[in-house]
Amino acid sequence: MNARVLAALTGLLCSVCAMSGQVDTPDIASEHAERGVQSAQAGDLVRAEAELRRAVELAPENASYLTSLGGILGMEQKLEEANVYFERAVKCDPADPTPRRNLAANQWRLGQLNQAQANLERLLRAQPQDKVATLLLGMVSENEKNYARAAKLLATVPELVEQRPESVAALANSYYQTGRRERAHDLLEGLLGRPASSQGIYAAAGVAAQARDYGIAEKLFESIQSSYPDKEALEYNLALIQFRTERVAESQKTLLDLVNTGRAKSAAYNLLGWCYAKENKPGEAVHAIENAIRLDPSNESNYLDLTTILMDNHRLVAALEVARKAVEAFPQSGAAYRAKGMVEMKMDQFTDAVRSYGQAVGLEPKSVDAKVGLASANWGAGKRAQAEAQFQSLLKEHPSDATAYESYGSSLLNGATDAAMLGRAAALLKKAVELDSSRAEPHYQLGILELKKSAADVSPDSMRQALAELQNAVKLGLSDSRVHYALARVYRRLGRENEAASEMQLYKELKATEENPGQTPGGT
Amino acid sequence: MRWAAMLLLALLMCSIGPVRRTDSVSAAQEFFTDVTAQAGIHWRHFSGESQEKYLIEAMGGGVAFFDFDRDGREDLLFLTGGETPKSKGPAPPLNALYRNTGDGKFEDVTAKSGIARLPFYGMGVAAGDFDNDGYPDLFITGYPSSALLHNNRDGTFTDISEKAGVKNVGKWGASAAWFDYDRDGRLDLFVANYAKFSYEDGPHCDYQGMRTYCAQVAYEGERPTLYHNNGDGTFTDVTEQAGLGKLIGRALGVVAIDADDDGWPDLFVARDASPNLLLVNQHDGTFKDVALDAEVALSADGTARAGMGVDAGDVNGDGRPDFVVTDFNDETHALFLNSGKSPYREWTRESGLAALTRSFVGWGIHFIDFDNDGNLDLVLVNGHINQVIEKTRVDVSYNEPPLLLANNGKGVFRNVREQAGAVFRNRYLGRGLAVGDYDNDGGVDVVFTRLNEAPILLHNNVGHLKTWIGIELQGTKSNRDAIGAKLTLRCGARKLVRWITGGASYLSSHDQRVIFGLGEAPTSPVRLEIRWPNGNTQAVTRLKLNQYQTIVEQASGPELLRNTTTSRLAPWYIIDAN
Repeated sequence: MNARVLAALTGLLCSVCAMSGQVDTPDIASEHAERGVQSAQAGDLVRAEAELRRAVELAPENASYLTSLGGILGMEQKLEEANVYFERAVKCDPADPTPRRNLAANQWRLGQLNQAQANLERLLRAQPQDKVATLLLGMVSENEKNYARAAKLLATVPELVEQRPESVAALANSYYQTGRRERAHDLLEGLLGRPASSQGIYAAAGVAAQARDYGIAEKLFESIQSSYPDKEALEYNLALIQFRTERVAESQKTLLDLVNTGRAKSAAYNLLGWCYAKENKPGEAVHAIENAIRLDPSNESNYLDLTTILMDNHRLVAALEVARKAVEAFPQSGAAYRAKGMVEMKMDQFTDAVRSYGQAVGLEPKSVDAKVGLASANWGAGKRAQAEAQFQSLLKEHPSDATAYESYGSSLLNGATDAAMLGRAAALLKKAVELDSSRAEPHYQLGILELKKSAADVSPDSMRQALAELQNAVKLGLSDSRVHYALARVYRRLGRENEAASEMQLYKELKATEENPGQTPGGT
Repeated sequence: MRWAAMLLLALLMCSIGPVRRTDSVSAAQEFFTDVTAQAGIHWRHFSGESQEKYLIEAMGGGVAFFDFDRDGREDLLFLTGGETPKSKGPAPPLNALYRNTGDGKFEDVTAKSGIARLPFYGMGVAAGDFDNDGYPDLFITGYPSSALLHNNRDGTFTDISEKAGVKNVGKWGASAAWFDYDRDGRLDLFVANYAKFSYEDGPHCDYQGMRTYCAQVAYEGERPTLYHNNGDGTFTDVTEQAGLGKLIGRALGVVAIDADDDGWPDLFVARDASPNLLLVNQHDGTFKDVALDAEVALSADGTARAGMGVDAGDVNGDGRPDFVVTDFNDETHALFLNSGKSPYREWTRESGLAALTRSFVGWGIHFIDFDNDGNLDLVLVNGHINQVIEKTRVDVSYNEPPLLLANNGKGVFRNVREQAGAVFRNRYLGRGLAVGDYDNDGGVDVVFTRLNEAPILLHNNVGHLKTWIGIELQGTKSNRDAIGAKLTLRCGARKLVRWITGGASYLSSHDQRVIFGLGEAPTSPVRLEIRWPNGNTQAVTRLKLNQYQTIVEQASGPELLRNTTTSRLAPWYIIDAN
């Protein structure tokens, strides 16, 4: 993470290096080195580089000159070349921690995390109190997603971390990732009102947003509204947070303000489209995402989002048209073929869906979604034996993937013509729940299964089981009409008439909305 | 003639048993034989199919078994579709009225009848004696209007729609049902209207550049129409007053029957991608839709299926009417068991219907005890609507076979296609289906229509091999057709319950006589209890086996029983009811 942090850090280290460099006196090399460092301090990196190159030419074994030149090159983003000089410096003076620290920093910037880590660990073995090395190793660990170690290391150098919002962001991220949400939140809150670079704050806000700690993220973004140079990105992020926190109208207003300034980019139009979709304004949603495509025809997700919105609004013909354009524009994209397959499935064009998902599997041989889609499409096309074989092989290849079990089980349940099929469906759906109990759909399907099983003989036990499954599905976020219809049926069988009536009412309201997307529940 | 009556009564005691027929069907003989050509039926349906793919082209047409000339033989009426703005036939498309000449043949009497051409695109038919004059009249549905044809008792019909006020103007009428919802002794009329439709600005759909029929959801649903019979040749549209005005949806099939056994006729309406309706008669001229609570409106996941045809009958011998509905492929045709309390039990999978109908799009359907074993079997026709379906599915075809499904008495069905006859092994675009015993032999025959093809008349070869009792009811206080009557026949421990329903199947009308199949010769006395549409009850014991008898409604006192038509094999009894 955080190239900007690194740049600053490298600069700092260079300064340290320059100040403590061993200059051979009195010779010309020393003079060049001196002038180089002074130029760097004055911000004239070009001159600094020239002077230090001359110094290195004259004294090629001088670790200090080599380190300084590497530092200047690093500041100029010439990272590969910088690495060469840092490595030469380390070779010249392996015992000096400064060249190695700079080499490690540069390796980190180059993404050579293993090498950076090895050098930093060596430094810390030699000098456990090396705070800069500790800070750097913390940053490297965060990049390596070793969040526990990153948090531990960064927490030991709070004074260095606090100086850089980027480091604060890294530590906060490590806390979020290790479940210490409050500590992360407090840490980020500490950035508010403190003078810091707006880029660093922006990065920290991004970490909070990613961790869905939207409150602090929004405050951080707002704190740099006057200073952050990329207004469009900032406003977009604010709108995104508003959208994610269900303040759709606010988000829409933020985005429309952005649109009115003429600065809105493709992503803003895309988000505006989703706002309209949430507000059941499919026409406006489609128009906004069409604008997003116009502004950035190379962004595949715009096509996929438009396909989804059209599909959700039952505009299947239009959705298919967009999906076709997506596969034309992105012929190597498995996601585009999957989207096309999904629409074709919705339109009962199963053999076409088999072809689309077949393409997707070819492009993404490891994608479970593509393979599940292919098996489901074959099932829909009536090639049940082939579909079953594909599902079976999916289960073998991905024994821990709940999706495969869920899809296979749902297919069997929906096509069940006998008790044996119901039994197989039940086993698969239970396995899906066992693998991932956070998925609502298999709980719903298991609830329905109990209802289907008990058509002949309603037993209170099976209805209680159905109720538990359906309630789980609701808890896990399933909120469409189906689940409330099923709940009404179960309550009725359990003699809980009032609850049955209220679920049935909910079903009717939701169903009306689903069938007329422009209408909100309750008809308001 | 009391002695004669007593002698007959003795003869009819089940312990004596019926006269056994001497003929039999060889093991190899099929249950049904296609007799269309030999019966002299050459009419063809015309849908007006065009490149425009108007949905209406794919939906017709209806057929009726009815005895228009009251000669005791069921005649046939076939409804054509018609021309559309984009399609003209080589000759004007005509409906067809065939008179049953009694020798297994039918005579085309269309020209004289006044039925040949109607000023709208034809869909379905409901035969009913709305004026109680003893002759069945016809209500013919279509778009953009419908027609009531009064039977003039001379082989002709007069269109009285305008005066009667039943033109159903602007609506696409599908199935219709005659029934007496207020029990005033006069048949009222329910029209299942399908969708808002226009030749001018309909939706357009295609598949890979080929124009196709749009799915039904592309069309906004319509409300049904309920006409109250005023008794003076006119009707009043009481849809709103009856509480039906808000029931917008794509209705296609309807059957009128007393579902809750309270003596008042209710309605089951099959709707296409709209929730089915179960309209319970509130005894005050209004209806309440209880389909959602009864769990007959939707599939298990709360989705409306594509309901087309519907019928009601007791499939498991518990004396209550169950409902069967034809649906789209994958949805499976649905069977709902009536346990006497809400909700109904969906019995589709357990009955075998799920497995038997998964690949089919079903239309006309009727319960029929084809082998007179006392169990209500099922006959139904299928046929897809999507002409390119075979490009998208390997297990679903455009033309589809009709099905004859034998009931084991417990509501479990098996496909008897191998014995059923060649027709059941072929594939068609079946649509309307009607049942009736056109040769009065006690075996219920079947006729069905095919889109843009000739209909198929199937003669039942096996019904007459078992013992049966045929009943024709004649209402006096109740409507003359006795639509709404419940008939309970008891023989020893066995009880068979049948109803005279209004509507049923898809776009079609049926022989209103009831046949009780008794299987082998009964060994106990047979007793029939009738609950007439107006609620009066009547018991009849002097029933003759293997023939039809007419029972006239009486307010009180002994039943009036006389035979009307005879089986080809049973003796012709003459009974003096006095």
